Amino acid sequence: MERGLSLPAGEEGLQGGVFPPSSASITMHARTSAQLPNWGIAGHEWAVQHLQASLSHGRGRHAYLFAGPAGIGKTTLARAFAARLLCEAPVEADRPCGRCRACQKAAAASHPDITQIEAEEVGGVLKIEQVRDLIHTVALRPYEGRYRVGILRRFHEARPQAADALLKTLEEPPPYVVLLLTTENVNRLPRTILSRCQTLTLRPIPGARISAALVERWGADKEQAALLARLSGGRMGWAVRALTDPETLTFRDLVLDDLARLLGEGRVGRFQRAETMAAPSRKDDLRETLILWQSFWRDAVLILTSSPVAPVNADRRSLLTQLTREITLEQAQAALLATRRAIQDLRENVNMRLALEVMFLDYPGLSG
Amino acid sequence: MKVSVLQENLAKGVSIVGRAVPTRPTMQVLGNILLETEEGRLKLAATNLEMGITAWIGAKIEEDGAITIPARTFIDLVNQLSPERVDLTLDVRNQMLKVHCGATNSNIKGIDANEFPLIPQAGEDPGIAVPGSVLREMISQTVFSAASDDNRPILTGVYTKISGDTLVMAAADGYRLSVRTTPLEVGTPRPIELIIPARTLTELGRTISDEDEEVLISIPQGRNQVIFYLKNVDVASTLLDGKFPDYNTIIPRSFSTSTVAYTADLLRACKRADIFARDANNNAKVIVTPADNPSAPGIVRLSATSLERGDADAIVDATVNGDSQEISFNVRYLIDVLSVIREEQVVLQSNGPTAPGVVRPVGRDDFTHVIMPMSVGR
Repeated sequence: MERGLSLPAGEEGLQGGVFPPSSASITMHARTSAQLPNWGIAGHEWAVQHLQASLSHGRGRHAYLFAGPAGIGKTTLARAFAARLLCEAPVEADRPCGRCRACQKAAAASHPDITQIEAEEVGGVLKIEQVRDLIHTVALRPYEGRYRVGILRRFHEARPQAADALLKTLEEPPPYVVLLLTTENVNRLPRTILSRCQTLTLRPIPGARISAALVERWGADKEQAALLARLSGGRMGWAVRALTDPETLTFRDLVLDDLARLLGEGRVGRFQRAETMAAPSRKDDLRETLILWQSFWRDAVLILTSSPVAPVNADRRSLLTQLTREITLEQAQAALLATRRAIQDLRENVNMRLALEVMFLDYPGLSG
Repeated sequence: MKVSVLQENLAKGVSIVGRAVPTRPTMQVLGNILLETEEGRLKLAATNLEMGITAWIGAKIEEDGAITIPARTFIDLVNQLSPERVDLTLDVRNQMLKVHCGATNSNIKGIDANEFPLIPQAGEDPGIAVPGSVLREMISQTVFSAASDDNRPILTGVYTKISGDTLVMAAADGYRLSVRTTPLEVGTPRPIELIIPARTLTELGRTISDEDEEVLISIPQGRNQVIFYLKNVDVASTLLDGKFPDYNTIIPRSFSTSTVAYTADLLRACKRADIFARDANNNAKVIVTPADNPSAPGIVRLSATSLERGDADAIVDATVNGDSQEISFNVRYLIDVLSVIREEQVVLQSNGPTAPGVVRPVGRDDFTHVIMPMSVGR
């Protein structure tokens, strides 16, 4: 046989570290990079730079944990990182290019070497079968790229058994595997998982960056973008969702009106409300509602302490002004703490009707 | 795209590639079958990203093109069509495939063929030829020994080594090991080691038909895949990564007892014991007794006991050389291996109740099966 058959993999390339050493061509080509600026992500520049630097020094890790609140951009970063690894641009400094087949497939979530698993619904459970399927998939060599990337979203929702099942793979994955975990709460992950990943905690994106990105990429008008950026609390994903799905904003209006009405009501009215809100079918709505109320009470505290920080719900200034005239700082703080505790309770599966009743008792009353 | 094919060819083609369609597709397009015109034939393909099957069927092509069609719908439809000419016409604007056969007209909504993952194609590598019937037998004699859970992913694969002019396939799950070798007419100068998922090989074994006189094994550039070329069908598989355990060290080289028995007799006895062994972790006792005098045969006794349901005791005549033995085996494992041995007689070799036992066909040395005994607490 003339050509002979090639040796099995493992004889080359990937052995030295997880990532092949950056190609020498970076220094040889003195030209402008075709790389997508900031990997095509709005914000989190420091995280992108950190990951980029470790890759180009051949020090990429095999497992990362991206932490931060829902909608801040953890999965977006994970997908961009996957695209960076799988991009087919010949010069490494150009990756991700955003134009090649691999980049486009990564963007369309149809790249065969990217496997993503998550609980079926937010607040659900990531099942052990899903983790096992992923382990099986990453044991196979890459389908068309150089790597296999596993994205495990909201890993705090993994059952303890599911997290345990992952440990061995997370510790010693095959050389071509990179696992990217995301979580909203690092404290809810087992230490065995944390110690096997490099954790990057994503920080809220400055409002100006969010509104600029909304205008540039999603074609929002300036005023709307500014409001959404303020409301988003630095969570790009939330802002985009609110922009593309008008229901998010309608929902917020309803919820804040609801709060205003509730404060005018007595104990009986509030307790009735607690009962309807605690219906198990509305768990997701309830979480969102409490988060919005929490931001509202935070605004009240800000105003009462004459803080220079601008209130988030600035478009609701009339209600805020009325509220802050009638209640004291202590009352606002008590309401804020009560709301926070209720959010916590919701996560810990307590009887929500009782939890809400307790919270409502700590809410101040408002005249008419 | 505008092509005409015969219903029976199409039905056969989709049933072959349909084996690669995942039951729970991770991407929508993986639930589809790719239809593409190629050099006067119609190419059908499906993949679950672990295994990809491509089949070509003869077709009359009026207009080239490609589309992916939901597999379930298409297979069900094709199987119900009458055995005559099927016309497939693609409306590119709305990605609808019109299926016309006799008096039946159907329209199936497709997905753009560009979204379909690339299935590895033939490189310049000519491949290594193995007779189809031999490969099929090799697969059947090894895959059942591969592990079915993913605790050690590497063991879910079949170790395949081509060195010089020998092809070796081996699989092990920690309790048993199968090793099968075959000589090659044309070997390879440099040794090749692959670990091929057992699931793929099982499907490949089903796909190889008697028409496939020769199967070519090829490793395309990129090295992460292996492709088997059959007549009009390609089966491609992603490879498992890692180092397969060195199995040679666990094959015993000498034995205190060798027992030769008729395969069919022993298999029947095992199946009878299995009925009662089910309640006892499939545990069956194998008692080997040498002949008392030269004119009488030796004996293999298989006994299994179920505390609730009773017991079975089966005796098979055998030629026993060496000491008498009493060993507990998982009787399912014995059934598995005896079912894939075609030779009339098998030899059971052992070194006592805690040492691995070996099963081989009599008269050939290319298949070895090792079974660990069960440890029975007394």
